[in-house]
This record gives sequence, C-alpha cells and structure tokens, in this order.
Amino acid sequence: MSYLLRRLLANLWQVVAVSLLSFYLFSIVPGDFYSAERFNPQHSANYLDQLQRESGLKLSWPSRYLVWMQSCVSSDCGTSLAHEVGVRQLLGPRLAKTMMITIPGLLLAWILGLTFALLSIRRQNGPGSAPRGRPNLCRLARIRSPLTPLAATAAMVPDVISIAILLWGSVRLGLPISGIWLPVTGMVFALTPIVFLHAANSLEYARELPFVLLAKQRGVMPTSIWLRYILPAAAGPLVSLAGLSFTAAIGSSLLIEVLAGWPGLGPLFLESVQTRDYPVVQTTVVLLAVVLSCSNLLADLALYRLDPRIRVRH
Amino acid sequence: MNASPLLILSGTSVAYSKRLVVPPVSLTMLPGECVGLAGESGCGKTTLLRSIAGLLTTTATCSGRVEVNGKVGFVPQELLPNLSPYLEICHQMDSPDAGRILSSVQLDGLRQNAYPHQLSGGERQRALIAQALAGKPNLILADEPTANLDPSTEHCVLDLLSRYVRETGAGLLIASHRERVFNQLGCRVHRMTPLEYVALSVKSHQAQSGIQAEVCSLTKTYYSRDWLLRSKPRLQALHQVSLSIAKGEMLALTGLSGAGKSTLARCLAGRETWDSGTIRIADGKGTPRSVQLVSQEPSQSLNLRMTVDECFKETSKLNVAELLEQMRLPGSWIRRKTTELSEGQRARVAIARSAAALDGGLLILDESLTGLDTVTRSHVLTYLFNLQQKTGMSCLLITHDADVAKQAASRIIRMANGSLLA
Repeated sequence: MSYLLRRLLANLWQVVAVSLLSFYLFSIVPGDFYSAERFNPQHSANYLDQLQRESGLKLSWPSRYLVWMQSCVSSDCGTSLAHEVGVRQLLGPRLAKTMMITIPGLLLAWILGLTFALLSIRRQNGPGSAPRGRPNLCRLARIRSPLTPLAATAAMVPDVISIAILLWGSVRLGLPISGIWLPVTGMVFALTPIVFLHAANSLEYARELPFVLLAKQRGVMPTSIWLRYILPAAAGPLVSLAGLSFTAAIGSSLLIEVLAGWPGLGPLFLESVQTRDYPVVQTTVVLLAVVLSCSNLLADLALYRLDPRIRVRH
Repeated sequence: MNASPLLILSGTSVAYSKRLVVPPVSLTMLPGECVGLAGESGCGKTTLLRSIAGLLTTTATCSGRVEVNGKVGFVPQELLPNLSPYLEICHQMDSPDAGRILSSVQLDGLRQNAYPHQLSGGERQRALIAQALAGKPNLILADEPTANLDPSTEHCVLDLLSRYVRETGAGLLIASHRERVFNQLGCRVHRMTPLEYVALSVKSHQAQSGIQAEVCSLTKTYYSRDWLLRSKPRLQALHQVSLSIAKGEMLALTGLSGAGKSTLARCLAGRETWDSGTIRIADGKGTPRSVQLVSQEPSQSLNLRMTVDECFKETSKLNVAELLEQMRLPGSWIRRKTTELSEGQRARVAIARSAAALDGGLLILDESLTGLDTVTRSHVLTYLFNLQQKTGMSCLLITHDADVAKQAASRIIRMANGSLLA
C-alpha cells in the first residue's frame, strides 16, 4: 500500500478514535445542558424531559454519536443547544477569527525564532569550534548564546502571565487593549521561545555532524555548507515541530482569546463546556483533531520528501 | 632544487584531557612524496591525521609544531557519518568534474546518483576518496583508505592515488595496517609502534555435525521511490543465494565490493527483509541469542554514549576486564566511553560483546577484522577459535582479504553480483 494512503487511513482512524473517546468522556460527566434549568420554577420536570428527548440527550452515547456523525455528513454537525443554530454555522465565523490570530502569530513566531536561532549560531566561531575568547558567564556555563537561558525562561512563562504583562504594558503606554495586535503578540510571546530553542539546538547539532566538518575541511563555500549540508540536517526535527506547533498554536489561541477578549473559538468553547452544549464541544474537539492530523500529515510528507532514508522501501 | 616541505611535524603530540594518545611525532614530507603511517590499532594514527587536518574535537589538545603548506584533502576511516545522507554522491563532490572523478574510483552512473545509505562499505569508501581528490589537494591524508576494498579495487585506488601524487606533486600520508599498501605505493614508512609478526598458532577446528544456518534461494531487491507513490527496483542485491553453515564452522565469504555480502549478512541476522527464499537458523528463529552481527563500521554496532562495561552488561554477565584482555585491550578500560576508543579498538569490543552474547549460535563478522593490525587480528581469531571449541559457535567471516580468509576459515565461498560463485 502506498505511503500516502497508509498515512491517510491512520489519520482517519485517529480522528474517529478522538471523537469516540471525547463523546464517551462527555457522556460520563454528570449533568447536561438542562441541569441548571431544573432549579428554575418556571420550567416543569416534564417540560425539561421533553426538551432532553427532543435534543437527543436521553439516548445512549453510542446512539448519540451515530446521530451526530450522520448530522456531520448531511447537515450542520448538530444544533447548538445554547444558541439554537447549526454548529457549523456557529463555528465557521469563530474559526475564521481564530485563524486571523493563529496564522500571523505562528508565522511571526517562526520567523523570529528561526532568525534568532540563526543569528545566535552564526555569531559563534563556526562549525566544530567551541565558544572561545575572553571568559564570561556564558562560556563558564558552557552556554552558546545568552539568548538560550532567556528563551528557556520565556518558554516556561504561562500564557496567562504573558497576556497579563501585555495588558499591563498596554495600559501603561496608553495603547488600545482591544484589537488583533494583543492576541497575536500573546501568541508570538508564547511560541517564539519554543521555536528558537528547538531551532538553535537542531542547528547546533547539525553544525557538529562529521560530514559538515569534513565539508568545511574540504574548503566548501560557507553558503553552500549552510544551504546544502547544515540546513537539510537541521530541518528534520524542525519540520516535525512545525506540524505540532500549528496544533499548539490553536490550543494557545483558545486561551489567549479568552484572556484578550477576542471573539474566536476560545470563548465559545469555554462557554459551551460550562453550559454542557455538547454538539459545540464535540465538533470543536473533532475539528482540533482534524487540524492536528492534517498538520502532522503535512509534516510527515515534508519529511518524506526531505530525508531519502525514509523513502527506502523495506 | 630545494622544494619547500608540504608537511612539517615537530614533536607533535595529542592528548585528551591530559591523557596522551599520540606520543611526540616528528616528520617532514616533501612534494611528490608518499609516507606510510603504521602501527598497531589504537596507537594514534587516526588522531594524528585528524590533528593535521584540523578535525580534532574540542576536548583534544595538540602540542608541538604542525605546519601544512597547501590544501589538505582528508579521507576518513569512518564512512557513513562522513557522507551527507541528504545528498546523492555526485552532489557531494563540490566539483564540476564529479562524474569523471567518481568513474576513476570505479563508481558507475547508478552509484554516482545513489544516496550513501544505498551503497556498500567499499563504495562509500571510494566516494570519500573521490571527494578528497575532487578538491585538488596538495596533501592527501588517507586513514585506512583501502580497509573496505577488495584486492582488485584496492589496486586501482592505490594506482589512482599514486598517479595523482606523481602528476600533481602532491604529498600522500597514508595510515594502514596492510604492508602491501605501502609496498605498492613505494612509501617511506613511519612506524608509530614497532613492527611485530605473529603467526596464528591455533587453527579453526573441524565443523561439527548439524546445520547452524541454512539459506535457500534467497532473493532481495532494493527499491527506491521517486516521490509518494512511484517505486521502482533499483538494485538486485541477492539472486537465488543458497548456502549452509555447519555447527562450529568458520566460513569465509569473499567477493568484490558491492557484491551483496553485507546484504546477506543483514538478512541472516534478521535486520533486513527479503523478497523470496528461506533462512533457517538452528536454536531459535534469528533471536539475538542465536545470531549476532558485527557490522562493517564498528561505531555503528556500539552505543557511543555508553562505557565499555555498559556495552557488555547489556548482553552478558561475563568478566568484562578478562574479555578485554583476551582482545588485547587493557582490562582497566572498562570505564572508558566507546567514543574514546579508536575504530580498531571499537571493532574488538563489538566482536567480544557479540561473541559473549552468543550461546553457540552464529556470529557474523562483516569486515570487522579489516581495521586490525596483523598481531591484533591473530589474537582475535585465536579467541574466536577457542570459543568455537568451547561452545560450538559458527562464524561467518566476511572479508576482502584472501590471506585472512585462507588463514582463518575452513571453507571459502565467493560472491559476485548478488550470486554465489561455484
């Protein structure tokens, strides 16, 4: 069977498994969308039972899953219990808003992370050389660049703290706290250190590989060494990271949107979890699983293209 | 006419964190001169060559005078790590004349457009020699450049090197364990340790009754894929190969480089799948206890993050220090990292570890003795013969060296183009 077909089937299986698991987990959580309404004296128990039956909440979870799957194929992925509109109709504009911050945030994070990594590596003495020169703190600690501990610290700062710092800074500087710049900057703050650390490590590892050192010894032009020897060797781990980072970016964006008040998927997802609006939660989870599978598939295909050793048929 | 020397070494020594690995060496090379570097495995030949090429690791300290006039071309001993896995061989040459140079080391069009992992050990070695020559160096430093080559290819490669030296006036500093290499090149030999001759006193004993391994009509084709869907046969590595190895037998498998010897070894060890045919191994179905393969590059057999002791402890509970001494290595080296050993020393560790892991069974040595000097090789073979006598272990010895095959094996089989010759 061809590599592409096998990967597509594996991805399909992953998405189905995630959707089944999330459906099951949601079904074992006590209570449902109408639980809070039971304390409302205006609604009788019979009326609530009827509403539960109409929305399919009385069905077993496998039956509910099948109904939901059917609605995904034929119509709107179910109807939101809270908003009383089709889930697809509800999620569409929200997803577009999320992508408006995720894609620029991710691109900026990668551009900055890679640039800083290249600069920090280029500043050193070249392949195969240890940091030399007058002793300073970095050399004593055997750290290649002062950016490394800075990025490692920044990577550990939770999104909540970085958004809080951004909000505080905006208020102090008199900048508007609404608008796209705040969530995008939050995402850049969250992702750049991770990209930088991975890229710097990969490049440093690739620079020390025996075939790179030998090419340098042969007198190959530095540009050629970087483009033909170091970058392909460093690209493998970075391509894998690129696939994962897209999912991580969407995950971060959900939280950042809530904190920054951006009307994307994040606030809707949080609200749906709180109100047990299961069609919305379920569809969002599956959507994220599809995004994860697609980004991993693209990363795998890129790796397949990049590394000839993977293309060998055993 | 007084030509200025290409290389001057004066009291050059190398130490790794205060441990002296290369004792002071003084040597001068003039243009057009070939100098051989001889000495037992682990005496510091590779480290000395790397120090001249400027390829020492940062933990090494080189003292004394090293003066090189002109461009240096280096042929390393380790093959696979020194070739980029992302580029075809012809694209790693960095020369417009790549095709001609690769043809001169007998690498045809198919091999020129192959990736390093698709080539045999000998082909990789020739690619590295071609790579060094493509840069038109004034001084060639060659570290065991013919260790993985069969005699006829070795002759051609040495002829090419000697012609290059004659025509360009370059210098050649070559490290080797084979005296015939120095003789063919007409080298002045610099010995780092005194020359010793040891005749092998113990002979491989007669095979016992019973079959240890049997291969029937084995066929293996390597495929390559252009992109996602298309795959095409690239090379038929094995074609209807049938052979049997008796219990306690030492069988030698010889043949030209790229003949399919290593592929057969990998199939026997269960590391490679095959298209058709059968392999039957006595005492298990290719479990680690019944078949052990020591690969062509010893550094590929060992985990380079481990100490020697840790490598042995993975597979056996024998006394490691005693095993090392039988392999002509100091018993106190058990705490050394495998990265601190030379290729020849790693080969001995890998052989001893694999042999110790076997309980009878089949030991496959894929060109594992090539990096060893005559004396050390005799010690290793004696150790293996004794082990055969004790445990009834069978051994498949893959080698290019006809002398080693005659000396060690009770039966010799030749291989060419993926088939066994009668």
